[in-house]
Amino acid sequence: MNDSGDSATEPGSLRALILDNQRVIDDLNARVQRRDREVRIIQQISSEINATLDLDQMLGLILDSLDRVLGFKHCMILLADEKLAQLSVAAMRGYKDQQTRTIVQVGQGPIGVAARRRRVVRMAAMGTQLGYAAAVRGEMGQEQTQIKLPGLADVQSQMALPLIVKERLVGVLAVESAAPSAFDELDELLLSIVANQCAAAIDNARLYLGEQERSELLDRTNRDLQHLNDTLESKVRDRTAELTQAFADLERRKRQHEELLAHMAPVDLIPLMVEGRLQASRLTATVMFTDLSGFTAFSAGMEPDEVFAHLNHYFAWLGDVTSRYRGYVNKTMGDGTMILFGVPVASPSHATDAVVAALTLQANAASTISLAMRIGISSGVITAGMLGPRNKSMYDILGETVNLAQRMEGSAPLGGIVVTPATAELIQPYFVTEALPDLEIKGLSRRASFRVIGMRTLKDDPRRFDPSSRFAEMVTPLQAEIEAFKAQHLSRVNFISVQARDGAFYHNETVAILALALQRELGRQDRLSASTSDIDEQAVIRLALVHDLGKRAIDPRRLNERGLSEEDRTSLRADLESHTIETLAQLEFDSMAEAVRALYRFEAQQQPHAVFDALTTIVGIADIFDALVAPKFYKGAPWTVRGALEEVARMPIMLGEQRGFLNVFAELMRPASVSLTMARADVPKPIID
Amino acid sequence: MPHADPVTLPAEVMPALQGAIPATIVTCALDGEPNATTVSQVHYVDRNHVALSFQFFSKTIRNVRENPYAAVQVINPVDFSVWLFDLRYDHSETEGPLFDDMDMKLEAIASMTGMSDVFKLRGADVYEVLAVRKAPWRRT
Amino acid sequence: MTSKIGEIMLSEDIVEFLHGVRVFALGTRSPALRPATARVMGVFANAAKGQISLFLPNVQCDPHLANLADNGLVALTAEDPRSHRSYQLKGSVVEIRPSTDADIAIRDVYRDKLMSYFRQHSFVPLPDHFIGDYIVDPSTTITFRVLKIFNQTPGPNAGRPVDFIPVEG
Repeated sequence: MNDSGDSATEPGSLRALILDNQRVIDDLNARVQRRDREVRIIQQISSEINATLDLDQMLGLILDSLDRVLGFKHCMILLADEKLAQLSVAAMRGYKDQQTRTIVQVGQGPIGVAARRRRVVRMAAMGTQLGYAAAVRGEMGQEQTQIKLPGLADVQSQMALPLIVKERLVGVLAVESAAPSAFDELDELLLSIVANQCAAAIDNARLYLGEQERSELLDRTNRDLQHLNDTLESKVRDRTAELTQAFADLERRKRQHEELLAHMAPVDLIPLMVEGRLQASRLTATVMFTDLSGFTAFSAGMEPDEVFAHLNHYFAWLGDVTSRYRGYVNKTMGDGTMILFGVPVASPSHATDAVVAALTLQANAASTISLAMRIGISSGVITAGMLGPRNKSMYDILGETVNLAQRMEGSAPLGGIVVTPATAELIQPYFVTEALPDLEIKGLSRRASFRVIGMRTLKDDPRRFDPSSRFAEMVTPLQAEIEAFKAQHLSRVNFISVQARDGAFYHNETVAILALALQRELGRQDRLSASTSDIDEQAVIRLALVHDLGKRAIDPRRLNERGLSEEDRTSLRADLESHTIETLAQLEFDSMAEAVRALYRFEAQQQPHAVFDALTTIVGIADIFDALVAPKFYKGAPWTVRGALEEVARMPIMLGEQRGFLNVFAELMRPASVSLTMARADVPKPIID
Repeated sequence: MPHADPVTLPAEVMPALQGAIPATIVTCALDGEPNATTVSQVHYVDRNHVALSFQFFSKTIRNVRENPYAAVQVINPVDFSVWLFDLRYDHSETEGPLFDDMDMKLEAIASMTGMSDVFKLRGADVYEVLAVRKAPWRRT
Repeated sequence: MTSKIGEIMLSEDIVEFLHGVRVFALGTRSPALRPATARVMGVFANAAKGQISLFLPNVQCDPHLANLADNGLVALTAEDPRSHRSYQLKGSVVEIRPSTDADIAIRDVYRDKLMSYFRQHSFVPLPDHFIGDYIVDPSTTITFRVLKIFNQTPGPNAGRPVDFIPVEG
């Protein structure tokens, strides 16, 4: 708190501000809760008061409640005598000494003024105020006097509430304290309710009533109580709204501070920064450098603000693209940038995320800034932490990996992406790369480098099918067909961004290709004509392409977790299913929800005799097969084609009705040199010998 | 002076607005003469307004009607921290809930000191709080 | 000595008042007529010269030194926290300098007296340091020539000029 405003950009003072705001927010929350609690207490007191009509007993009960339940230690009730224009004490609590004064003239002191004005009077710091008034009196050459009133000799705070029934003053309820500022608005609100109850009770008790009248009166009092409770709630709502407003202001200020911090470090680190727990750490991560070719020449004739506008537009776009792939733009240097992946939160997808982001940037650079980019990428161990002078420190990283990334960028051709061997190895299962002639890097040993050509599609991925199989002959035209389908019907879906989350690159397309191949083979052989002849090919392709789009709504860390328990896996699948159905609704493919549900049931099915329709079975087999053979971050080596076919055949669901489909699929996918034994549907035997 | 973000009085300053320790207000006449005076209480009005009562006309009241800016210091009676406010005179009230509340409090005190006849509230000057800060303080 | 126009000698009463347990506040104004205030940590009144030196912690000097450099106009209130008797002294700056050891000694006596007064008269238990928590060093001494004195004790006479004694030759 000893920082004054102008050092607000310094993390230390921001931390203090945020902590301070948090404390105020907690306090406001506590006050809102206190409000709720006290409202309930008041309702309880109100019903106690209504249960009796004996005046003394009632006044005693009210004061006891004020002391015991609400904590007002010194309180009194005075009854009004209209003729004498005075009030006399009828009940008191919390006074040790015998009170010598029991009368207050109307208009005298807080109690008298409350009676005269018929308004609540809430006083604080009365000692100073009285001293001030005495000074004025002395200044006017008058003798000092102070009128003695009932109550505490050293009173500092006092609240007096008029008791009014049917526009007639019946008395005053007063509480007081020797503390300088003992009562707040909430106390005033609470006591106003008690005062209303008290006034009605006094009035009731003063009247002589027959049983019938008394019961009517009680009914009316209860109705009044109900009304009070209703108004009470709305009053509390109003006060709560005020608090909520204050709360929102604080939240906004907190957000502003956090946004300021976000300029200095990744958002994930802000809580650590605020708590001062951010320490330098070593991480395996990927660093990307980008550069715009010819920006200096491009901007030569521009006004400075025009240059900034262009660059800021470019950086905004670059930030959008990289953040989609969990990248963090750590700094910009002229038209160049340094972007981090897998920092500060470790991620198994750091290398592929960087490369996907780089490919996306290169594909759109021309249309966004009409200049060519160079991109260099390097993966390895880095040291990360806050770096720089105390008031200008930024989250930054150090290490050879950083230098290498910069060199890769320097050697990249226009429009190209060049990566180190370490990155190339990490991305090799998913991307096609090409070795470049060795680079001479100043200060470092000779390093190989690789140029990224593009994503590995199914036809370039011989581990996902056998080159000697019959399927290998069909893959190229089928892939072209699926790509055309995607472009025509699903151009709104960015498959790569969904697949990048768990490294399932080209999985949806592959499932579609495999399913379409199986569907056509079944039709060609006419073996299962009864069930397959009328399946719509488009339905097969569509289900295959969209079956796991719900991944977009799931935290990649959860998708990539190794060794999930059965329970966690089930819950992940359930979430995937419901998010996929939501996504389909957004794509206006609601009609596919049932097919998606059937597919998820199929894949979780443990009963060998369960029966599924042809659409589900075809897509299910294709999906399970590709899930086994495709590379994944969380898997070691993927399954071989042969191993995968055996594994699918062992699934309980494949032992029943669905066996015929699998046999056709196995025939299509098997290596030419391997012969298959067609097992009977009810015999759990391997299908490949 | 346009300013986008209204100031919110921090909760920490509230005890200083109860009148336990008199406050000081500095204003400036249009001829350039600054004027400092003690006031018994700076009253809280809402999150970015405070009010000063006046029973007697003064240089302060004249000054802010010529030049609305005022600087105020109040002292928190709990820890004696000093709070500095930059204010701008907004308007004066001679009736309404704020005036009545201040008037009743004054009446309560006046009636206890035999001053009811002279100690009358003439008006409540409402000021907008432009800035509030705590004077430098050794410990937090 | 010859009398100088506008110069006043401070009366014994005023000097005695200023050297007691008082709450002081400084007022200055900027070239744009924006007022500013600060808590003053004690004063020394030189009756013969009609000058007052006030001690202002450097952390509270902003914007007062700039304001005084612009126009030299000082307004100082002094209030007796017990009786609420108070005065306003207006004048023009003569000298601004870093506080000397002698100034600091006067200031520290003032501070101790103020603390002990509040300890005796506070309505609430006070923390150990309270006034001792003000940052007072380093400190600047601002000396001004008193040109006008006003009674500011609350009441109908507040704002009336106090009679002053011209410096005699």
